Amino acid sequence: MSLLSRSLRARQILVLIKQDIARALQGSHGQLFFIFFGIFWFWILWKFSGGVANSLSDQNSVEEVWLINLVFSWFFESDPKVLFSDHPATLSLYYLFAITTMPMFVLVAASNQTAGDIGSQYLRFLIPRCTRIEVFVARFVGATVIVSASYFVITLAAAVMSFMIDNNAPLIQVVTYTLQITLSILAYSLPFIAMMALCSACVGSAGLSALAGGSVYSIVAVIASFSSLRWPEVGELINYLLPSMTKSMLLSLNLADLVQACFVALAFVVLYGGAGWLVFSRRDI
Amino acid sequence: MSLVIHTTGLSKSFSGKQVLKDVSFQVEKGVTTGLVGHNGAGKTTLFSLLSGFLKPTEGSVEVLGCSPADPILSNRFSVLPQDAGFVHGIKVGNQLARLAELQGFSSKEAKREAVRVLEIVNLKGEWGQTPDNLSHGMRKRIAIAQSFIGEPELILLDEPTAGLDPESAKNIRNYIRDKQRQATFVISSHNMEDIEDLCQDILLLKAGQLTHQESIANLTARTTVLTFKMEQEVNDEIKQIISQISSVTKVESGKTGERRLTVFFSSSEKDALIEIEILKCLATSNLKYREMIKGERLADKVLEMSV
Repeated sequence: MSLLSRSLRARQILVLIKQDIARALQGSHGQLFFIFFGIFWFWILWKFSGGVANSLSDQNSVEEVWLINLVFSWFFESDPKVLFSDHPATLSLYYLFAITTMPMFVLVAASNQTAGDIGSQYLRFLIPRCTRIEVFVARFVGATVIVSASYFVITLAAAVMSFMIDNNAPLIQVVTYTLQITLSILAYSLPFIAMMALCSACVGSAGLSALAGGSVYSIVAVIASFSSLRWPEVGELINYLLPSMTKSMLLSLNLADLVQACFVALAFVVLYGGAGWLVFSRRDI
Repeated sequence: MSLVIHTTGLSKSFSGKQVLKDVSFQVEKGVTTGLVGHNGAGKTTLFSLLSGFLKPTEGSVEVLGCSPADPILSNRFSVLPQDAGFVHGIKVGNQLARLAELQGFSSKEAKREAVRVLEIVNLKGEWGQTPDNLSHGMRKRIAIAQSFIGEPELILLDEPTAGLDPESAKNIRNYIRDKQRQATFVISSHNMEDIEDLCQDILLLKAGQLTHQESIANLTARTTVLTFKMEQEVNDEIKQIISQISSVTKVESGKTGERRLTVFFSSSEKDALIEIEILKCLATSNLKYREMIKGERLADKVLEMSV
């Protein structure tokens, strides 16, 4: 225990997180992420501002609902009716988009955890001053802070929009739903960030790390899909390896499912993060 | 005797290829030590093992009595790595301040410390520049500056003056000389003038093995040897002329093109007179020289030992 506390000093981790945030805000990789992320969400929220979510919650048109349900159940693996009928529609639509597009953004935002340090050999300036575990944990927490803060800002904008557009939504409902969405997004992003911690420790550049993360995720997803056609149990088992496995739990918006998803997310962090640490702790720098 | 570095049976292999074999040595506190050897001799690998960048395949390293990875060393030893780069897009002053914070300085003190080390390398005015806007030499000086943060007891410098202009190199050498009483330096370099100028001991690596650990004074035997850089090639005839001087015990020449003449003589109370006699002999034989050094040149000695 004393060895762990000696090797994992809060002060060193805080300084490294500060540095990570500065790197994200001032470095080209971070700025590229913020620009794409900002443009994408500005465009999406601008589209939402026309009240498109409210027309989805209006279930008068049978054909429309049938089509929407078909598309949503394919994309989101969930029945979206509950989301639109029981919750502020604009926030729900934002939530669906956020969950669906998150892997793409997290692969980019969290790809430069230790990869940049390894590639530029900046680690050689850090290692005499802090331990490897401090660097690894700080880079993971730094990436989590950057991803969470980015989504928090967008969620807040969506909440404000929802309060203004969704006429029937009382303020308290919008606030509690926003908090629930924020927590869900954090829970959904953690396994992806942990997966990127592993990819990042294996390669020497942020670009390669994002590419490796994307490729591994896609390949495992395709294998899982094909396996489930012939051996459903195997396909399901492989699906458990994917960081996206908490998606259906989180989209149910059920408290019990949310708690379960949080525990599963932590398990993924331990699994992927542990594997990443094993690689990072053993590698020559 | 207090040791700052102690290695035992240190070996390192990369993909099955052994690049360092059974290296054992000690460095005493206050003894500036040079790490020398040809390209590929294993200097940077040994340096990286001492710094904790690499893990040994076999053997052990102790730095200031601990493993190089021990967090207790955070503010006690510093390293100038050869090819490490700073983070793109962040001001170098802020980066140095952040590194100082990691060494235990408060945020305010860290900024002051960053200014201090930037002054040492004459780059105080570049605080606000990002590494991308600096020349290679300036980036190198910033890297040197980070190794001077705080009051480290042991400073490991890999090629500290490589790529620097003569004035900056001199400035760095002066700073190292001034600091030698407070810290122990280990300097890895191909520049034998730097090593000879700054170090007391050398570690010579050859094909991954430590072949010599000696004091430079012993190696260059300053009292009974004169080394000349001649204006003409040194042939057997010249060696014959010098050998005729009674106190001269041995005459050596360098390889073709080096124009080096090394004259060994027996030690006596009249060393100065013997030196004058050698000079007179050269003058009367009309043998002109450009440079005379008392003792052997470390570069020549290392070259000889490396073959």
